[in-house]
Amino acid sequence: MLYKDGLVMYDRQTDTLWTQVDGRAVRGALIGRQLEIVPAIHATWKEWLALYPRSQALEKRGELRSPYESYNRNPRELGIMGRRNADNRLPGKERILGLRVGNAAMAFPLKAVREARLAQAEVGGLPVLLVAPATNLPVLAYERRARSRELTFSLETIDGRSVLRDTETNSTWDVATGKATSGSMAGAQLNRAAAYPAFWFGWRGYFPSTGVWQRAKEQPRE
Amino acid sequence: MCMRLSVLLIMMVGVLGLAAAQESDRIEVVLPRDAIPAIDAPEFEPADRADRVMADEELVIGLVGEREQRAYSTWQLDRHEIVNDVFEGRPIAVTW
Repeated sequence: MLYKDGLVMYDRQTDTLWTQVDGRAVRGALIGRQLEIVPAIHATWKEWLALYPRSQALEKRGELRSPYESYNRNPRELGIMGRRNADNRLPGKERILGLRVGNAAMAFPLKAVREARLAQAEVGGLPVLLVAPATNLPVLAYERRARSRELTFSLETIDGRSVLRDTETNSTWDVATGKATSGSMAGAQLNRAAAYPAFWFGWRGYFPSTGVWQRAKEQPRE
Repeated sequence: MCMRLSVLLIMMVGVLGLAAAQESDRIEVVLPRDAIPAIDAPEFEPADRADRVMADEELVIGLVGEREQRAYSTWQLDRHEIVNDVFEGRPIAVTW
């Protein structure tokens, strides 16, 4: 079943129908309820291995390739029903990381985040950052606050490694884990933010008033 | 087959909901129920072994906990859409 071009799931206990895109019950006994989104890392296998070489992987059952390779590559094919892109802020198949906080939504185009390397924004009152620490690592998303303080970050390179530093306390933070490694915040932990990937047209279908993150334009030099 | 929209989420049954939402949009029935079989008893293997059947560019959903890290291949999820799992004691559905 599909709802606004997105998968619909049912639960075996109450037969309620849930949207996969935003975890809402749209038909059935639990209508109006909301599933909690668990933050995850979205990476290629190679990027994931670079972060967690000793992790576990779901065992395959013969699924060696994706059946959607050509669909994923075709910029003109929007959804199974053949949609048109209703919002030209981005191309329909642009890959984004989407973040929803309460009724607010923000789309972060992956390409733009990779180019900028660090994206800082506020979504529904929640300060967040997305960071692309290196070309062999995935884009990671964190909340920009720790120990009840809102923080603003810059990205720098120390001994060949990307490190986050916050302006407010001058502490340094490990990019991969979100843990402060030096300064007065040492030991503090940034929570991961629950950003998840989508094609632009699909995200926009669910959240028509979504924002689109853009890199701040450089000021003209005088 | 429904994953025509490559959106994914991981979630867990939460507590409270939104106020009476208007859910007037149509639900399109494309395939019969359970035509795409969810994975109910997921099994895992060490990453170095999984590496033999994974492609470098294969997208995964990665969970990072206090003690464990788990990767779920989206190419595998394309054929199942949902994994009903428990991660560090928390009941979750990994969906794609």
